[in-house]
Amino acid sequence: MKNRLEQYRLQKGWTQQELAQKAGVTRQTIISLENGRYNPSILLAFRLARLFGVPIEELFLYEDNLPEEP
Amino acid sequence: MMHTDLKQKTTLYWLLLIVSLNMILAGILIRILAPQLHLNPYMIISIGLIFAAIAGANLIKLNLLRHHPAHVQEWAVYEKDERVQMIRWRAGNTAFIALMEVLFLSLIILSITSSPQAGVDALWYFLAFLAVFPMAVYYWQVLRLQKRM
Repeated sequence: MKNRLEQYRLQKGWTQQELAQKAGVTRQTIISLENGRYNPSILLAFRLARLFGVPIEELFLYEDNLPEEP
Repeated sequence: MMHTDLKQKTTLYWLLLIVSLNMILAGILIRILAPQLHLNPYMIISIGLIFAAIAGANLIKLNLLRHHPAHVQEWAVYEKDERVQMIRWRAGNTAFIALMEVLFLSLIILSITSSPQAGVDALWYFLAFLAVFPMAVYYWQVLRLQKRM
């Protein structure tokens, strides 16, 4: 799953530490999320989307290999 | 007021310290009072020392935290962080699977060879290994997953 976390964080002018404090996670988690090494739980994803004031699908881009329905 | 999680962790490590000190004491008493027994007291003392070191180090860390309230919140966030929880869960899972594999492999080898010459000493070394092995796998996995996740 890709995300636009870094882009939105920079738009807000927040550091990774500031975002981590607002989201109630560690800075390492924010780093891992931005690098795409870790996929957040649905709760954290909603919390982050709410912090940036955007819908969850705007922040996190779901990709799957399933064929599209006809 | 002490943080609830900090209090719980402190109690847990005190219990571990008491258990490990009892193990050390039991090992010393076996060595002095019952040297004729087919037990390896040094093995019991060694495992007790390992657990005592873990408990002691964590108690010192938690005590330092208690005296620095600013760091308690930081520690609480770390302890409840979902990525940290996931890493611990996965490391514990791997350690358990590794333990089961070693145990089953050993039982298979033992049943094939059915060697009575293995002796009581070998059994003690093996049991001690089983106590320490999952812990080593757990910490190795935590370090590995922290880099990967």
